[in-house]
This record gives sequence, C-alpha cells and structure tokens, in this order.
Amino acid sequence: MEVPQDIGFEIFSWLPAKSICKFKSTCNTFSKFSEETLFRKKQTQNLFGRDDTCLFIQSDEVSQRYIPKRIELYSLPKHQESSGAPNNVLSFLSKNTTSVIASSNGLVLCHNINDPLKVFICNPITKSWSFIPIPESLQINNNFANAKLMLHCSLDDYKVYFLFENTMEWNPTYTCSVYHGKEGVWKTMERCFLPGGRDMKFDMPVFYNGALHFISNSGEYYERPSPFYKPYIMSYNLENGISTMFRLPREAIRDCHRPCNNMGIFNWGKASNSNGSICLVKIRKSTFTVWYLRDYESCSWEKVFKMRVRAMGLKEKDLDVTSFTVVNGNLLVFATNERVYSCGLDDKRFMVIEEICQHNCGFNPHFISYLDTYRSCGINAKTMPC
Amino acid sequence: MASSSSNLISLKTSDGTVFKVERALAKTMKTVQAIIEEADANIYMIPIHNVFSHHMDMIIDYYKLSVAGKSKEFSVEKLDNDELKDFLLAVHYLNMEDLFEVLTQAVADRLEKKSVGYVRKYFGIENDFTPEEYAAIRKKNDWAFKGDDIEPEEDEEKQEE
Repeated sequence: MEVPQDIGFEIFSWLPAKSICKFKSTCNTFSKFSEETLFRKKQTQNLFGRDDTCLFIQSDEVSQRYIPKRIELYSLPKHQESSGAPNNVLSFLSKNTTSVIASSNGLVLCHNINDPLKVFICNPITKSWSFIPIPESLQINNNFANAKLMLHCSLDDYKVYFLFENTMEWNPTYTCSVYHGKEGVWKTMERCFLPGGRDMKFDMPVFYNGALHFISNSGEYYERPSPFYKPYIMSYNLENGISTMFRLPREAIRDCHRPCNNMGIFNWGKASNSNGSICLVKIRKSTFTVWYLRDYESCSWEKVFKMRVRAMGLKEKDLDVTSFTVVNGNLLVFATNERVYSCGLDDKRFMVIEEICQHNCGFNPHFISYLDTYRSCGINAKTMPC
Repeated sequence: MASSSSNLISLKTSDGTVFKVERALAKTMKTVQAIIEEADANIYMIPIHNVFSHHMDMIIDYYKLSVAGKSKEFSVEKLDNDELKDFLLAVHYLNMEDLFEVLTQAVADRLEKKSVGYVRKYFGIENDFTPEEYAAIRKKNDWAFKGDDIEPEEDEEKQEE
C-alpha cells in the first residue's frame, strides 16, 4: 500500500542526516525534503537530546602543530554508519588547520589553530558555517590563543563560553564571556570563575545543573592543610557566577600524589530524565574505575565500574591507555596507541567491549562525539567553500 | 440530542468488529471526534475505514499505557515492517497525534539502514529521475552510501552492467 508524501516527510524527519542524504536517491519529491526550512527544524528538534552516534578523533593541539592535521569521524558501535558527515567537509577542515572543540545537536564548534580569533560554528551536513564576531574590546584585553571554549545547545539557541585567564592574580581567575548564537550578542558574567589553587582540565567541561564543572589536575603542589592539597572539582554557576568546590571520592584521591594517575569527569546518564549526573573516571595501573555522583548536594559518590584493561580482551600487546572519555553518559571510549575502543557502562551493554577504529592521531587523541542533524548555524551563516 | 449521557462510543472496524471505547479515547482520534461533532443526532455507531480490529487492540493498549503514564513501555517490536506500515496508515487516518509520532519514529528506525530500493518499494514510489539526474544525486551523496552495515543497493549492480 502506498504511503502518502506527507507521512514520508514526517518519517524522514526522524532519520539521521546521513540516511536522509542516502534516500534522496529514491525520488524527486523525497530528495527535496531536506532543502525545506521546516523539515530542517523538525529533524533538528526530533534528534535533540538523542545519543550521539559518531566520534571525531583528532590529535591534541600540541601534536597538531607538528604532524599533519587530520580530523577523522567514526561511527560509535550500534550506529554502524547510518550516521556520518561528508568526507570533503572533513578534508576541508583538516587542511585548514582547524581544531574541533565541541559538538552538540549537529553543530560543531571549531577554531583555527594558527589564527585563534577565527572561531566558528559549522554544520558539516548543510555545509554552512558562521564565524563568531569577536568585539575589539575583547580582543584587546584578552589572550585568545589561550582562551578556553565551551559549547552549549538548547533547543532553539546555542551559547559559546569563553574563559579568559586573569594572570595578575597568584591563583589565576577566569573571566567568562558568552556569545549567544541566536541574537549574536556577547554578555560577560559579573563574577569570575575562581578555580582555586590547581589548574583545571578545561578540555573536559561538564554542563550540569545550571553550572559548568571542571576537574583539577593532580600532583604534589600543596601540603596539608591547604584546601587544594587533594584534587577536586570546581563548579561555576552560569546564573550567579558562584564557584563551588566539590570533593572527589576518597578512594579516587588517596594515591593521587603519585604519578601515573589520570582522572576525568563527564556527564553521566541522561540529562532529560532524573538519572542524569556527573561521573568520574580514573585510570591507574591499567585499571579503569568509574564513580557517579549519586547525590549532588551532599557530594556523595558511588562506584559503579571497575575493570582491568588486560581483562578486556584487546588486540594489542602494548596496552598503554592514553586518553579516554564517556560518551552519551553511558559509554566509555578510550584509546591505546593504535586503536580506539568502547566499553559499555549502562545495564544494556555493561562491560561489552567493541573496537571503534584504528587511529592515526598519535599519543593523546582527543574525542568529541557528534550527531548528524540539519541544525542551522544561526545568523551570519554562510556556505563553506568545499 | 448530543450523546453526553453515554461514556462509550461504538467504533466499527473494517473487518466488522465493534469496539466500545471510552469517550476520552475517542477524543484522541481527531477524525472520529469530527464525525461526532458534525452529527446533530445521537450517533449510534461510527465506522472507521482502513482500521482493523488488530489495530484497535494496539490503539487501546497504547491508550491504557499513556493514561497510566507508561507510554514509553508501548512497543511495536513484534510487528514486521509491513504490519507497522499498515498500523501507521490506520493511525494517520484516525488522526491521533501522539501515537502517530511514536509510529513514524518506529518506521524511521526500521528504514535507517535499508537500501534505496527497499525504501522505494515501502513507500510505493517510482524512481522518477532521469539517468543523468540519478547519477548526479548519487555522486553528490556518495559518502552516505559508505558503511559496512548498510544494505547494498540492488539497482547499483544493475547500473554497472
């Protein structure tokens, strides 16, 4: 029995962009759906909040200066390549010394490594990009080369957060300026972010509960009774600008002054339902341990996962785990020198190990998850020359 | 006189079965609701074309689950792709917004990894491109056909001949 065209429109608006592009070849009418603004809006909305299906893998920024820059995009397990982005767009970004910083609901935040003022939002599917206009006043007062950038998308708007270090202080503080994509305006927060005595790992921000959270580095910089003696999490409330310290689980920090310690925080579970939270992943002596923050107010953690890398049945003999992340709040993704693997953390795929790819991104690859949508890049959007 | 005294509406499916459903459920069917409102006399039985009794069973299941706040538990896993399509068309005819959205999503999930040929058959559409147009659109979207798990295209083998 034939299916009416308007139903086809609705059905297609639930597909990831790659599948929509594939099905353009079915017939004339279907090939034109994705050109309509209403369709793009619907598809963007329908896919908002869904799990990311792909992973950008790139070398860290330090290595990027010496080895040819390469941005690779791979599918996560289960999504087996019905999601993706056009290769020519990825090549274009790779050739132009671009670094992918963050991605959300199909938008990708990038900047040019050699020209830090060139910060832009792009959508590889629609091949459009929008450069963020940096006001002169911000350029003069701040060092853009060292700015820390973060992206947050809501259903109808996106915000890019810029943290600039105020180096005059003994313990550095950070001024936060926010670019609002929809209106194209900048707003600077009244209160600075006060991370305390330790350096923060700004490359793994966690948006949760209306605040940005960062984990500090480890290492022997302080003695008791300094409050910064042990590593900690510092949150920055995006409404009132108040910085709050969170302690880490005791087990995670008791041996943190020794080397070979690596910790990261990530979103846990789904923000949409009440199971959303923050998780802490630690790798030490080739063993992964994961805790999640069971109660935010009282800062109580619960351990949910512990596994030795050797027990995972990986192909290589040399099991030196370099970098890791948690994707979609339920999937641990990590890299050895050669390959990238995933390990399930939720009930459905608990401890299920899968190989994502072999990578060429050197010592410390950087992961950013992605979902292919037709989301608009907002005002100032232009077509990418590729 | 309006049928406000009765809380049950009688719906007769294409295969002749009569379902007595709650007024609240009938309200979720905009097509049925329109029929009720248009009728100035007490309407005795509303025929619902294109809807079979097995569709009504599932509609009632969905309704019961959503009233209990458990609409996420509703599953169409046991239906094959064609059964799912028929159900979708029935729900579309009845104009039931929420259930329609659930079903379009379910169909999208089924079709995601299928071939272009399969999708044409499923929608009952013809390839109305000229050979040049088809070649151009295929080339432009070639990246979308790359992937281990994607069903291979039957017509591609034919085109190579």
